[in-house]
Amino acid sequence: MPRAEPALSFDEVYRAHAPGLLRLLSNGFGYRGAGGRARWARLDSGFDVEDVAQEAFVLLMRAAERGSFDTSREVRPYLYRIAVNLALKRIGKGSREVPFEKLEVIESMASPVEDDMHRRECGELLRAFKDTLSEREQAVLAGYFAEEDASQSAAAKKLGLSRDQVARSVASIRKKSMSFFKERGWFNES
Amino acid sequence: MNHEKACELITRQFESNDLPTEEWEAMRTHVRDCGECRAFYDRHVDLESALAADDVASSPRMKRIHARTAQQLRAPHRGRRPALAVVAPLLAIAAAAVLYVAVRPSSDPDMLTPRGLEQPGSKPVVSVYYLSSEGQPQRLTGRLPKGRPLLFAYTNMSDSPYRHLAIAGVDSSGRAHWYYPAYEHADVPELRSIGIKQGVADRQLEEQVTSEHALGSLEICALFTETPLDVKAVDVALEKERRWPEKAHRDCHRVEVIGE
Repeated sequence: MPRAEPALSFDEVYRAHAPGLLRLLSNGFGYRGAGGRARWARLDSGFDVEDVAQEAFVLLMRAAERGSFDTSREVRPYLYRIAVNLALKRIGKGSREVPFEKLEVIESMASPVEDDMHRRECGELLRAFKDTLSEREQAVLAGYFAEEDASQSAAAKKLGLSRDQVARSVASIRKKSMSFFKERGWFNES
Repeated sequence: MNHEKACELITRQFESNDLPTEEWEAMRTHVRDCGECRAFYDRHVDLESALAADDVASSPRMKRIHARTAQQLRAPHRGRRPALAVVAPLLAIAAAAVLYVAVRPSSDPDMLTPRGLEQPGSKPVVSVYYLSSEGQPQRLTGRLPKGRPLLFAYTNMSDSPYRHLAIAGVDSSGRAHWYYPAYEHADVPELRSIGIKQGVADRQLEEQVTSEHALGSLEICALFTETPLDVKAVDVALEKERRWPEKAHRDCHRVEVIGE
């Protein structure tokens, strides 16, 4: 089936909205459905967050392509509605309970306080892991992984290393971190 | 995909971040339904997020989502792939068979005989194929192994009044599957049957279509109409009343979906 050129640029839309969307899905969101009551929900699974985000962008771009989303309108509310609708289906709320046409996303709704033992455990393991790294690897961890605009070239320049050395360090850190965490049972728990 | 294979792919993905698209899609499909694998995947995400803030555009996670989304947008549709390279040789044979049949009837059982072209003024028809596990297109005659992608080609005479086509199937659970047009989400405001040409034989439709059919009987019907069908309305009638639209010319195939 021939398809028209999309009126939206996926790269631009993604750059503008993906960070906020991921935060919304990970940290939780408020929503209001047909009944009018505000509710709060969250995707517990990192996989689900990625999967829903991917599907939301695909649906948005296809809607723009088909002409069923008016690209002169603001993208974000529509994108967030799609994503929240998908997320609610994923956690079993279903679109019958909250019809898409009547779904309202409440971004400003505060989430319930949670004591995230899981994240603290991960943080402690990470601190222990960093102590096992060489000086260069620790420098790469700080100069590449933690940077907002990470590129191996930029890190190489900053650290006085070749791009190749940075690339090898990055690959080594990834592999070592997975082994380290695996040995301590991180991947065995659900 | 089995559980062990999915775990292996998850590990490879996070080690190298360059899992081939097909493996990624297969893993993704499995993880959606497997709580254990999802938890395994989540643990990797947690580790990755601990190493680097994951909501900045350059983080591995954001890059991964971007790359996978871009791949999905480039592919025709999820579960749908270009059929051209696969079916073209088969249809070239079929097209040659059109000429052969016109000159002399064939007694060779291996020659494809296009349906509906035996006489002028024939009604339009659709030929249905499926891709075998070896990637070879097979004419669908009686049995469809579950999960095999479907391919379609239509024949529409030059004096045919029909200008539009929709193809759907109803399986043993009563669920309707829309092959053409793609009807993947109820949120789509409206959907119409696709435009088709006249005076063509075995004109293939672009995409392979994969659908989760229930085991057992499957009725696949091609609906040829003079004006575009409102697919959503037809869908409602199909699922509620198992009724195909009356104003369409139907070419239906009854097959049995079997386990692989």
